[in-house]
Amino acid sequence: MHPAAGHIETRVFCLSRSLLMNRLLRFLLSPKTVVSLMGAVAVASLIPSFVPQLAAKEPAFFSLWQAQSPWQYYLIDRLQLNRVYTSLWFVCLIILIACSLACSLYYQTKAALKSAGPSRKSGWAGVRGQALSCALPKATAALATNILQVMKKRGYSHNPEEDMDKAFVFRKNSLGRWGGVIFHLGLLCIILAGLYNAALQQRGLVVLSEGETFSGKGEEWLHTEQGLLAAPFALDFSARLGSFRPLYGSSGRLKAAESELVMVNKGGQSVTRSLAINRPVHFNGIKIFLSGKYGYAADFILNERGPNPVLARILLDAPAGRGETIFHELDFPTTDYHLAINFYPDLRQPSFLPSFPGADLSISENGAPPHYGRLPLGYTVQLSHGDTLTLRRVSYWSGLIFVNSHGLPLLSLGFGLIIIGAFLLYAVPCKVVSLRVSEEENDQRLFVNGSSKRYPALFFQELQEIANELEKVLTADAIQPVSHA
Amino acid sequence: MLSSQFLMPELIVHWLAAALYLLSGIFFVHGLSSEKPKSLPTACRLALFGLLFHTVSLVLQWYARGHGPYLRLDESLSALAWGAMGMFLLFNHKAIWQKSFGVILAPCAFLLMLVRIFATSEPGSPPATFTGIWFIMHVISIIPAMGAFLIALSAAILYLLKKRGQGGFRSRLPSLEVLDACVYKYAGFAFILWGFMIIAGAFWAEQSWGRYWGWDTIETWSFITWLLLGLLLHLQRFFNWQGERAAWAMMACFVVSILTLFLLPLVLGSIHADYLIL
Repeated sequence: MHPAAGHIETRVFCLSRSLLMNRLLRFLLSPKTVVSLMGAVAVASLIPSFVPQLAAKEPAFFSLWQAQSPWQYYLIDRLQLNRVYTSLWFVCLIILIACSLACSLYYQTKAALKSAGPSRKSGWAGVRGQALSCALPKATAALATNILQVMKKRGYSHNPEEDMDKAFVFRKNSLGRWGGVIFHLGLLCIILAGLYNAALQQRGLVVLSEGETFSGKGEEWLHTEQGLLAAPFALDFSARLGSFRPLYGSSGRLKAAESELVMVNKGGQSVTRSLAINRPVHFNGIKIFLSGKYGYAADFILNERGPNPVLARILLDAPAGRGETIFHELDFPTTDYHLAINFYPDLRQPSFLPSFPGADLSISENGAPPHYGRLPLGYTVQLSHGDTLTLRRVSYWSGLIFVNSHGLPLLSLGFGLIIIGAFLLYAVPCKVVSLRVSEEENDQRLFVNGSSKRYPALFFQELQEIANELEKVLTADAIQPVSHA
Repeated sequence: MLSSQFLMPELIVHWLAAALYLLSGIFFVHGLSSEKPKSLPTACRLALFGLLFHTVSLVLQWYARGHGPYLRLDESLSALAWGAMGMFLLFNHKAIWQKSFGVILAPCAFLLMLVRIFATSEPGSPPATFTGIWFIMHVISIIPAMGAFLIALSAAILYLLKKRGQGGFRSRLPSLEVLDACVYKYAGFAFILWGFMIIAGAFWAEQSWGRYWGWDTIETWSFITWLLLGLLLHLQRFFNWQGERAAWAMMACFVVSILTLFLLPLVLGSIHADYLIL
């Protein structure tokens, strides 16, 4: 091989690599790519409205679906359409958007920095809006002062450094040119924080009755979610639910709920905190929320022929309104009894009994005719074969959500930047107006020209108004002689 | 109910405001269809009085029911009408040509307030999660967002009307370029405010359920609406989607926003469906 061949090969490789990079950059920056990516995210977000998602339905639903239409299910599962937001293609789409945003940001920042300098450098090639002109009186000393006054009144500021030959340059909302950069930076922050959080977040739901303790270990969770790179969720402290206090509105609907939570860390130190709906507590880096799901935990004891009584805790969802009954059916654990319960959180509502909870029961055993009876709290009913059933305790249960999230400051920053950026982009767009005086023979005219990145038609109207105002102010009568101080 | 004695005066003021909007709409139509120049300023004045009464009605309603105008469909629609008329009158004093938007906005506001007729149920109390500053920001920001949406929609409709012929009332409408710029401008405002609504909602969700985003039906569709608005703004800016195409696209975005707020929560189910009770 010729000694130069290796060198040429390397150069060809470098050249093709830079060509590839250029192509990739052009692709990421192309408006077509941006619009296509936005459309793709919109379509992807639509899918869960029509295809049931794994996170939203019970596993039994999908088993049935798979049994009924195996091919359809297979296709949807392979395309990951039943888990859109955690699918590989959705993550790739988001990463592609992040890359496009990052490239776009680089060029937008460069452009914004460039436009901040004197207009002489950036040139007026891209001036939009038509030039308007108005006749001027003979040059007077007051001309400049009057122009400045008019422009100042309309919110335009003058920077003499930007002035060109025989032209004054005025700017309004200079900060507006950073709108695009700030907005897209905010979007990038949100995407990065979202990806970071999606990878590392841990979240768990647990249901506790009053007085019950949660060890924080895996098997006690009712439901957990964790990011792709996160370890199984386990707390380094235990939590006990103290008294739970629901508060009802005038319509009988839950208005607020509050509870005490006692947390004990590994060293045995306990901390009691009060938490409420919309008022979470922080402990050992974990945020704990009252889920808003709550109800009654009814403890029944069945004394059978055997030596040990059977205890069953039934978790009943809170009724829609205060005073309403709750219906629940169950097979009593380890026995042949089947219970249908109409639970009354407050027996004052349907009966003359004192104000404590109770239940109307229908109990059947092995298909035998059922027994009916009312069982207030603390009372016992006789069943067949000498068995007895007691409603021993009624307490509240509540759902608690434990969250270990990441990247939240970045997410909040992104949110803030988006709002500021969008505001600068659309509410206060940067505008530049140039006023040029032309003298041709005896006719002196003022040309009003300008550029604005947004709303050219509305900006043209503004230019017209400026021209009219200047014409009015700069007529011979209106001009007051001023001295050059 | 905190102060139910305010409900009757509130109802009277509500209908007074609705009547003023209707009257203002008639004057707007008259001002555009005839060449009487005084009709449009009169229509604006009537709309302003309507807005004042409407504001009083909303304040009384808030006081009487103990919650803001977000719990029932008629309350939400009334608030949206207030947002649209408020934004219209706010921007109207600066740009005289915007008065023509009133021809669509005032009747729209009247129709939105008319829904109160069908409100039969007793106003309920808000769910426990409907508290906190972010919740208030979330529900309040939707009012000007829909206001901006409605103004952009008005500009789009007027653009299409003007495009289809000259003469008559069309000659009194702003130029096509101005109407097109208004579609873009108010779509931009709707984009900001809708974005703020989503963000405030995300903060509220974080406070209530420990997650900024849960892909709930309304959350997803709000995001889709916002994306569509962003798409429209990009198309207008980079692909020269102006004029008729932009007007139709704006109308499509408006339809999606209505679906998002009022129809999909009922069809697909959502935690947001609490404000759709009539």
